[in-house]
Amino acid sequence: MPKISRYLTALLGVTGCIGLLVTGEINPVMAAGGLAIIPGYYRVLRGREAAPAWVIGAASLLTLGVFAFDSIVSGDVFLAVAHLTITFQAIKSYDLKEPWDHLQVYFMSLLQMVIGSEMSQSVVFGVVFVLFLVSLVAAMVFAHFVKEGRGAHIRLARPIVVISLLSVTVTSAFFVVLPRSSYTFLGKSHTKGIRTTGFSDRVDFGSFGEIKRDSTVVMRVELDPDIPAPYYWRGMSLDYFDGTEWRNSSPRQSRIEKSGDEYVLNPHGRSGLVEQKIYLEPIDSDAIFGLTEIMGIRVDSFSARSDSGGAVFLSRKSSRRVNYSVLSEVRDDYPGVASPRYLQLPRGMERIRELARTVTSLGRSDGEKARMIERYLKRNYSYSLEPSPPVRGRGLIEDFLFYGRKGFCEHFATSMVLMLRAVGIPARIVNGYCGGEKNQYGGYLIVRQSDAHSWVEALIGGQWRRFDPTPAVAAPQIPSLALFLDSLKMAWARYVVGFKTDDQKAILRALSSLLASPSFPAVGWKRLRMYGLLITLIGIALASALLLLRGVKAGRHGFASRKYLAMRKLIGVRGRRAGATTPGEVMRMSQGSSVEEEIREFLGMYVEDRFGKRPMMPSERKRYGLLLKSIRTGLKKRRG
Amino acid sequence: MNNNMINPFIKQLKEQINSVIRGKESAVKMAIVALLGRGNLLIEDVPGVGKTTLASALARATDCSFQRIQFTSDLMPSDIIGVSIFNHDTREFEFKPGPVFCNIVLADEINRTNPKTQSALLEAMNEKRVTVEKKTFRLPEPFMVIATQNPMEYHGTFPLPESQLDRFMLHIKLGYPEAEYEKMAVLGGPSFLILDKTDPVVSRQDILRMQAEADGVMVDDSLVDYMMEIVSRTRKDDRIRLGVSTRGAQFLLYAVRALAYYEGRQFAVPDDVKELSPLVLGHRIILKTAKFTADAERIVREIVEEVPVPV
Amino acid sequence: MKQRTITREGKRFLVAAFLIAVAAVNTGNNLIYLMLSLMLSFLLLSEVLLNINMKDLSLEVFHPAPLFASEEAVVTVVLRNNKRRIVTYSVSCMPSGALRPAYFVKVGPRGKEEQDVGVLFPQRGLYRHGHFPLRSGYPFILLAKTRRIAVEGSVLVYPALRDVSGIIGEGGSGRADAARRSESGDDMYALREFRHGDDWRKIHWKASARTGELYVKEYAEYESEKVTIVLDNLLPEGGALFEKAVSLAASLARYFIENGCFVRVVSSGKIISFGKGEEHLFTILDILAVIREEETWGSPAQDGRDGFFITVMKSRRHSNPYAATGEAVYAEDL
Repeated sequence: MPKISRYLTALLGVTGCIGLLVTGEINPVMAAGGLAIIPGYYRVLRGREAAPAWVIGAASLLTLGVFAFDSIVSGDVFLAVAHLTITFQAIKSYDLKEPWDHLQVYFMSLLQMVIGSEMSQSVVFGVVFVLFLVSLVAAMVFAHFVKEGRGAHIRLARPIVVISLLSVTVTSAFFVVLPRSSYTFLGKSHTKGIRTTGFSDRVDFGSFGEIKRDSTVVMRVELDPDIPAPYYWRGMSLDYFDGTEWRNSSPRQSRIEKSGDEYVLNPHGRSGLVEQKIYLEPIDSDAIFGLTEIMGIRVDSFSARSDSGGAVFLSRKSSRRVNYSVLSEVRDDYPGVASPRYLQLPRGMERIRELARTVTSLGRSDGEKARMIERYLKRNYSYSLEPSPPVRGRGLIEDFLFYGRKGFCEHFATSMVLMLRAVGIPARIVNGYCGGEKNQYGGYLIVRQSDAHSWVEALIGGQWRRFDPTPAVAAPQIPSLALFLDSLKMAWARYVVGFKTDDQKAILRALSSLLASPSFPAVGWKRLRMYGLLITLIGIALASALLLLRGVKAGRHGFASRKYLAMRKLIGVRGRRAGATTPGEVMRMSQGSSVEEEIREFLGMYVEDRFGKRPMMPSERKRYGLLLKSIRTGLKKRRG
Repeated sequence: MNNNMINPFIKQLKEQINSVIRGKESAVKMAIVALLGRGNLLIEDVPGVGKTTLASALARATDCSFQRIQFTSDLMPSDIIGVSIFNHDTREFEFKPGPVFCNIVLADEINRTNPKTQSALLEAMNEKRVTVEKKTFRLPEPFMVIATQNPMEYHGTFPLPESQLDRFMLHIKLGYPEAEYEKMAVLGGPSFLILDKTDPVVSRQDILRMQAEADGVMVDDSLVDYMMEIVSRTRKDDRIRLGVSTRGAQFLLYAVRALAYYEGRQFAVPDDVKELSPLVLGHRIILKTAKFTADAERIVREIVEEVPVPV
Repeated sequence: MKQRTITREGKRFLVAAFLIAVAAVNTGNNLIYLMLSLMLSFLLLSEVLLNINMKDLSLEVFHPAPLFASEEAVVTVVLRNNKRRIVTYSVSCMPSGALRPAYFVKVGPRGKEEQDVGVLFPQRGLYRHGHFPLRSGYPFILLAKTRRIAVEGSVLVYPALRDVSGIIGEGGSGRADAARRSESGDDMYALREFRHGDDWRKIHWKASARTGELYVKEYAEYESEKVTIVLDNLLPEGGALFEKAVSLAASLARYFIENGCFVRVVSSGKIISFGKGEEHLFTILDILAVIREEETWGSPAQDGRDGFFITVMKSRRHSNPYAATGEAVYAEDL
C-alpha cells in the first residue's frame, strides 16, 4: 500500500476508537485490549509485515470470549459491542494485507462513530462523517490503483474531490429517500440524560441556584405561527405541599386517545391554534412541555398519558431525545374543576394566613385578591439565587416571607399558592420553563436549564388563571457565535437525527407541486426552508464539482496561449490544419500586413512566455493585450 | 519573432561562409547547426553543386583543421584512420594518423566505397575515437564529418545501410544554385581562389564554448512531447515500414537546441522542431515502396503537418 | 458488448451494506440510515462513474517494428479519450497476441496515451485486429467492467527467423562468402584484361605496369552473387513441417541478403525476382508471411542455371521440380 493509504488507515482506525472513548461510557477494563492499536499502527507506518494468521485468529477468539462475558455480566450488549469494536480495531492493525483489510478498518471506525453518536447524538458526528466520507473515497480510489499494481505517483486529488462531492450529494439523496419504519424494534437508547435538571416530578428547594446558572439547552422550539412572548412552557402542576416540598397527590394517569397521528386532549378545529415543534433533550422525566392550553400532540410514541393536573407524559421518554409537535390554543386561562386538593395547607400556616388576609383585605373578588397577592410578592421581595439559609425551627416559606425576603421563583410561587389557599382560592404550583431566546439563524427558540421556572395557577370563576409572582430578572446576553453553533446543532437534530417519514412526504409534496405549477407552493414553504438550504448546499457541491471539471479545460491554456490562439484566429488560421501551425508560420502569413510589426512583437512575447519559461510581468501582460487589440483593429481596417 | 540577439560569432560565421558559397543560406545554416549540435552532416546531391566548397569554407571560417577524403571503391579503412608503421629507429610500431584526425572531415561520395570502409569512418565519427591494434586514439575536438552521397539512382554505388545513415544528425540537399548566384559563381572565378582569401572568424575554442552553451538551451516539456509525437507517428504511418528510432528522437532534440541557439534564443520554439524534423528524421525511416530518400523526407514533412503544435 | 463483474471486495461490500440496512431498519437510527446511504451512494457511483469512465474511448494498435513469429516484439497501444471534459483513469487493454495487458493510468479529456506491450505470435500470417477487450474498475474496487472495442487494421507476422549458417551446405556458404568478399573490397576476385567500357578506375596499375597490358580488377560479379531460394509449397500438406520450411526459406533469404547477395524466391504460384538490400528482404518476408501450400507447381520451370539454387523441402518424401538443382535443405532435419 502506498504511504498515504497507510496513514489514512491509521488515522481513521485510531479516530474511531477515540470517538468512542470520549463518550465516557467505555469501561476501561473491557476496552484495555484496544491499547494494542498504538504499537499496531506504529508497525504499519514503519512498513512492517502483518502478524501471522494464527496469532490474529487466537486474538480474535479471545476477544469474542471477552465479548460474551462482557455482554452477560454487564447485561448491556450495546456497550459490549462498543468494547468489541475497539479491540477488533487493535487486532486489525496487525492484519493489514490487502485493500479489503483497509476497508474493514474504515467501516469498523464508521461503526464506532455510529455507536458513539448513539451515545451522544452530537453534531460532531456530522463533521466527522463528512471527513470520513472523503477519506473513504480517497482510500477506495487508492485501493483500486493498488489492486491494479500502480500504487504511487498518480495525481488523484482532483478526482477524489470530485467523487467526494458527488458522493455527498448522492448520500444525502439516498438519506432523504430511503424508506423509514415508524416503530423500532431494538431501540434501547444510550443517550445520556441531563442529570441535574431544572424540572422534576417534585419540587424541593435544593440546588436550584446551580440550575439557574446552567445554560444547557433543554429544548428548541419552532413556533407556527410566531407569537410574541411570554412563553410559559407548562410541564406539570403539583398540588400537595408538606412544608418543605411539593408533590402530586393524585399520580393517577390516564391514556390519551389517539386520532390519526395525533393524541387529542381536547377536540379542536385547526384554526387559531399555535403549533410548536419541540426538540426536547433527554431529561429525568417523562413529562413533555407545551404552551397552554394543549389541545393535541403529534409524536412518534407508543402511548401518551395525562394526569389530572394537565401534564402530558410519554412512555419511556425520560432518557430519549424526542421531537414532537404540540397544538395549543394560547391563552392565560382555561376551564378547570375545583377540588379540595387545591386548598390543602400544611400545618403552621397561621402567620401566612394572617399576611394573606391583610394583603387581600381590600380585594372584592377572587381575581382581584389574586392579583393583589401577586403584586405584593413582586414588589416587596427580591429575587436571589442565593437566599440566606432558613433559621432552624422556622418553615421555609415563613423564613422567606418574614425574615429573608429573598428567594427564587419557587419561593415566590409557593408563597403565592399558600396565600391563595389561605384566602380560599384554589391554586396549584406549575413547573416548566419560561421564556426562551430567539435564534435568528434558525428562527427558533432556545430554552435552557436556566429558564426553568415555577408559577401559579389559580381557579377563578371556573377558569385556571396563570399568575407569576416572581420579579423579572435580566437575562444574560448570549454571544451570537454560540447562537450560530446552536442553530447547527438544531439543524442536525432536526434534519438528520430527527428525520421522519413526514419530512419525506413534505419533500415529495413540495417537489410535485413545483412540477405541477411553476409558482412556488404557498403552503408548507416555511417548513421546507431548511430543505431549501440543503438543496442549495447540494447545488453548491455540484457546481463546485462542475467547476473542477471545467478547470481542466480552462487550465489547459495559460494567459499567453489563450491570447495567441485568438490572434491566430484573427490572422485567419482556422480549420483542420490550424493545429499544426507554428508561430513562425503565423508570422510568415502576416507578412506584408499593416500590423506586421505588432504581430512580430506579439509573437516574440508569446514564445518567450510560453517556451522561454519567462512569465510576463504585469506591464508586459498589458502590452501584450494592447498589441492584440491593435492587431485586431488594424486587420479590421484593412478589411473595411 | 526576431527580437532576439543573434550571437555575434554566429553572425560573422554565417556571413563569412555565405560570402564564399552563394545562394545556399539554408545549407550553410544547417551545417552550422550540425556543428553546434555536435552532429554530422550528410549532403546528398549530384556532383558539382558546391558540397566541397561548403565544407572547406566552414572549416576555414572556424579555424579548424580540414581534410577531404575522396571515397573510391578501392579505399581501405586504413586509408582513413591511419596505419601502424614499424619504425626501424625505435624498433617499435608507430601510429601514423589518417585524414580522419582533424576537426572537419569531408567524406566525399561516401557511397562510392565498400561497406567496410564506410563503417570504419562512421564508427570513428560515432565514438569520436579510433582504435588501432588495441590502442585508442581520441579524435580532436570539435569533430565533424560532412559526408556527401550521390543520389541512389547513380549506378555503381554502395548505398549506406540504414544503420549507418542513422548516425548522421542532418541530411540535406544542396540543389543547383539559382541562376543569378550561379552566374556570380562563374564570374567570381574558381571557389578555391575565394577560399584562400577566407580568414577564420571564430576559434575552435569559441566553437567548443558555443556547443556547451547550446546544450543549455531550454526545451519546454510540451515541445519534447511534440517531438515524440512526430517520432511516434513515423512508426505508425502506413507508408513507412520502419519508423524513427529512439536515437533519431535524441538527435532531433540536439538539433533543435542547436538551431534555437543559432537563432539566438535561450529556448526552443515549435518552429525549430517543424523545420528540422524532415532533415533529421527523413533519412531514418524505411519506406514500404519508394526507393528514394527524397520521398522519405516528403513523407516526414506530411506527417509534421498533421501533428498539433503545442500552444 | 459490455460485461460487468462484481469484485471480491464488491461482494463483501454488498454483504456489509445489507447488514447495515438490517441494523438501520431495526433501530430506526437515522445515523445508521446515513451510513447505509453512504454505502448505497458508493455502489451507485461505482456503476455510474465506471460507465462514464469507459465511455467514448477508442483504441488504436501500432506495430513499430516488424513482427516475427514466436519472437517477442512490441506493439504500441494508443488509447484515446474522446470525452470533452472528463479524465479517464485506470483502463487496461489486452491486444491480441499480447503477453500482458496494456495499462493506462490516466487519459486526459480529448487526449491519448500510449503503451508499449510485449506481444508474441506463435504463427506467421495476417492477423485482423477485431475486437479488443478494455477493462476498468475505476473509481472504487467494487465493480469491474469489460467492454470490447473494435480496432481497425491488421498485423502481418513474418515467419520465424533462425540461424542457418550450420544448415546450408558448402555451395551456399561459399556463395555468401564470395558475395561478402566482393563487398568488403579487401581482395580482388580476379584480374582480367581491360575491355572496352570498363571503368578506368578499376584499372590495376601495378599489374598493368608489370605486364604492359591494362588489367582491371575484377570484383565478384552480380551473376555469381545471385541466389535462388526455392520453397517447396506443393501439397500434400506438410503441417508443422511446412511452417518450418517457410521459416527456413525466410531465414535463408535473410542470410544471403545480409551477405550482399541478390536473392530470388521461387515457389508455387509466387515468384519474387532478384533483389538485394533490406527492402528486398521485407518484400520476400511479406510474401512468405502468408504463403500457402498449392496443388500444382504454377511457376514456370526457370532457365535452370541463374546463379546459385537452394531448395527448401518439407521432407525427403516430398518431390519438387527444383529438388535436383543446387543444394537442398530439409525442414524435417530441423
